[in-house]
Amino acid sequence: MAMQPAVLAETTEPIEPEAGRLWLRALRAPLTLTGVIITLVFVVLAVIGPWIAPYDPSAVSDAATAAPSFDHWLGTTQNGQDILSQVLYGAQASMLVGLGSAVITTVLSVLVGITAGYLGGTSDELLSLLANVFLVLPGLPLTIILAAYIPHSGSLGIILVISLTGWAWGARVLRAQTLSLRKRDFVEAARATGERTSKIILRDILPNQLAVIAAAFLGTVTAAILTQASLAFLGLTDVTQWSWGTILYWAQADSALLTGSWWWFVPAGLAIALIGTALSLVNFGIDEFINPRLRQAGIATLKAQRAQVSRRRTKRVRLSGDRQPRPAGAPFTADSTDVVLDVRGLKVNYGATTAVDDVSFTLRRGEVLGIAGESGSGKSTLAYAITRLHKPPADIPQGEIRYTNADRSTVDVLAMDDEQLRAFRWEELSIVFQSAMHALNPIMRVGEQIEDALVAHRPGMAAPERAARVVELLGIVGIPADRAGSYPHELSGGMRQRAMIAVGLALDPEIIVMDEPTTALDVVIQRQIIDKIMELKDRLGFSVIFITHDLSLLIEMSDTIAVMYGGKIVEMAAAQDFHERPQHPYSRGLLESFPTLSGPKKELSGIPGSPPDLRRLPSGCSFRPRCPAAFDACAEHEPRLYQIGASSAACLLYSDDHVVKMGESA
Amino acid sequence: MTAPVLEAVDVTKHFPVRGLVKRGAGRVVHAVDNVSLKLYSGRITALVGESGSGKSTLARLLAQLYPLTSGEIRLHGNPVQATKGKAFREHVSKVQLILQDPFASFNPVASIASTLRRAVSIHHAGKGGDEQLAVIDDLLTQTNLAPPRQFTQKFPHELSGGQLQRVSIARALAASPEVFLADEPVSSLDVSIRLGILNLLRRLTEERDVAMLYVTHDIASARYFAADTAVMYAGEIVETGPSETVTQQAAHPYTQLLISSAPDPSRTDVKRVKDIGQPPSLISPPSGCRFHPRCPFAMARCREEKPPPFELADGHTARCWLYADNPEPAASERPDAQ
Repeated sequence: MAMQPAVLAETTEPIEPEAGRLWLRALRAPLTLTGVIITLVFVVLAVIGPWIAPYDPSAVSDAATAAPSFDHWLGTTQNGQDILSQVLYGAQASMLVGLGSAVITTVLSVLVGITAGYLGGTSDELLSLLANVFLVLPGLPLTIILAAYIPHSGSLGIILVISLTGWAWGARVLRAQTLSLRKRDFVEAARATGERTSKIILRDILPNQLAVIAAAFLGTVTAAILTQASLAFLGLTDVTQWSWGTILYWAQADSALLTGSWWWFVPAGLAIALIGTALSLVNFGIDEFINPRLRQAGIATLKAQRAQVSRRRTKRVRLSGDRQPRPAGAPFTADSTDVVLDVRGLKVNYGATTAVDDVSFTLRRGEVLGIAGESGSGKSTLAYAITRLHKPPADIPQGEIRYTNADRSTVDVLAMDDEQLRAFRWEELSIVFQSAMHALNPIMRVGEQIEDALVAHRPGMAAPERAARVVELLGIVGIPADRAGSYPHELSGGMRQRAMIAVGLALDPEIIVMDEPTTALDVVIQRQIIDKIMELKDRLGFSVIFITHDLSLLIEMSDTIAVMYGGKIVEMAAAQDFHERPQHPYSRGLLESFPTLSGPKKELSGIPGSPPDLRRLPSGCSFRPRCPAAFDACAEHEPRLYQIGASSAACLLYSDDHVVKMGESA
Repeated sequence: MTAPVLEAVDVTKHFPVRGLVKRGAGRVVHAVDNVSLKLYSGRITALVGESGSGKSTLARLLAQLYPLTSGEIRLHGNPVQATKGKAFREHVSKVQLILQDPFASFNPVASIASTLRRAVSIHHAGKGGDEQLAVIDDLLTQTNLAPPRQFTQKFPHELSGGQLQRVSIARALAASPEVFLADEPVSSLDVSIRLGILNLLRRLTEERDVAMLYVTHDIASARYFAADTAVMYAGEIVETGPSETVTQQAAHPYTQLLISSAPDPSRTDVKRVKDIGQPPSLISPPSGCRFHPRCPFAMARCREEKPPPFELADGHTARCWLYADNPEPAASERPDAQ
């Protein structure tokens, strides 16, 4: 049973989602299925309970306080009433209260929440005020008082009481959700299409909140059943109307606990616990029913996690003791052999999908290695793998990442344990991510965040020394020292990105990996940051792995460029060579996709088609379907990297066979 | 040149600043200030600027998604004032907006077919189910999504960014509009597929003789894609003209800064305008020329008086005192226009 979703996903993944089958598939998640079955059983029992009950639940008999027997499956009460019949009758009252209150509560909160959130303005303020008033009403005492006043109104009274005290919370949540959904692009797009407000609410806002609404609904069912049971147990409802709570009330009143008549109170208690558990199980699964993206993703992640478990590394290597400072090196030259990072045959899998395939490169001291690639090329996965920040389902089944320490000894980054890894990251290698707003903690001052790295890695450093270092670092990246006390949101995007770079520099790392550090910034600010990085690199002598899709930028700033496509490096060359003589047809296509500002307008040809899906790479060369130079052999052979002068390119045009053939035909 | 299809005349948009304490204290964000822009049929006009320059706000004002603070939007010379109800729907049937992020601009829980069907049923009212399907197929084919049936049953997350942006364009086409307002239509797409989308937009502009506003932060793409370019800075248009002139003989110091900052490996000279500044606060924008705190050529006059647009050549204007007939004596230095 446990393996079923994985197998199923494998066979059906490429198939178009069909509504009916999706439901079936989601239902196969064993926990959700269990929850749904239990819930259904209770609903059915609630409906047919009175008909299948063997006795009248209130009928008195001679068999007083009898343990479960063939005549009375769940035993009897002190008055000889059949407990099974009471539980069956009770199911009706409990489920009615649960579902009834949940329906009314949900309808009220959806109406108020979405109207207030979408319309805004005065109606929002009035409705929010109303919700807030109901929110501060003390729910439990009110429920008890109201219930005490209307004890003979039966279930209806309780439903009303629970709904009145419960709707406000849901309305608040839905209002907040609506407020954020209202600002989303697809709502604006619907408006710009000319859609009516009512339709936008019904078709754009509401369906995207179904998960929350359903969760609130199920939660209310549970809460209402519990409230009803509590009220009945306290004797605040009509004690002659059977419900699970009433059973417990009588069991308590007639000292079932003292006489050890466990069969009296256990079934009702168990029923309440069971339905509660079942509804929570359904609740967990509900997101996958509703969100078309999660329907597949949930299953894929599960599969990948399972694959991950079977492959744990056991090799451990100690990192060399104290860190020695390196002597300042000479500026980088193309023939340098001072390798700091050597990546060999690195492979990264997401479950069955290979995101990075057999990638090898070396990074030398002071070098800027630019990695270019489009979305899905594997460039960001590579960045995460180098820093070992990849999380399951990502997994590195093969490859080597060797880092050269200051004393020339090398360590395998992939073999480090957690402790070594913590020391390695930031001390030797730091990372600057694309979105500084997300990478910085919004509730900590910028200065504190830089200091944090120092506190963690330099425990011996005294506070004044640390403060001085923070000021120094801010100065290095060009942030005025008085901004150390600012929170991230008080800084501009460019300033935040500088702050991130300052954090990355805090421990004088040897390598800085930058994953699209300037993509979210405007060109003018980008230029400031890039100039700063290059200046710092020359001054401090670190190496940079710079990852971006912006080839123009890479050519300007890199020493060496690696182009990734479909998880592989397809071309590697010195930046100048690459710009003047791109070898791989993909590189040529990329360079012909960029509009230029200087020089005459050139013809832009671009590349037909779109980047490949890593889950379904074409056979042979993965660029083949888009390649203007493709020939038959490209479908059969996966090209390795061929050497062409100082560059190398993974293209069969440069294979010996092809070159010879061309020579013959010429 | 013929009369413009859609026109912004002295358009201003101020957003009130909402805060806990200062709410209602009259503070506003000057998102767009006194901007005039004309869009002609069959012609692409680029609106270039950095984030926060007000370029996207201007596009939304032209689409009437926000009410104006002052000024006028004119469609075929007639002022329109329609941000809700029937008049608004009338306006959007002629003026369609295409948003930047194709992944965000689709309802994630609706299939492509149902999203398109909504647009079709608004703008092709009275058509039956089968006719609507035929329209959807036709729209997808026009945006090079063939065969259409391969896309209609999918959900947004199952398509690539480029495919989704084509669906976005198809959705806009459903209205058979006279004006397209494309707000950074390719910025969030992969480099190798941008060109395809831009060529599609250009083809639609020419074939359907519609007016296109191309909002972008990438001035190089404006050079290739648009006939005219307007450069925005801090809520104002600072330079307008034919794209080739604006990019090759940039007159305004801000345009020059923008061009010299753009990465361009083909550029031979490495001399750059040194800039350490940032875009100003739009709550209290600088007096006079809004660029003066960052401008290497700023004069006393720039701090006090707002420069009017100066006509430099045919259709090429710059709002900069350097081009006044009588610039201050202090302005001995004139920026190299190259």
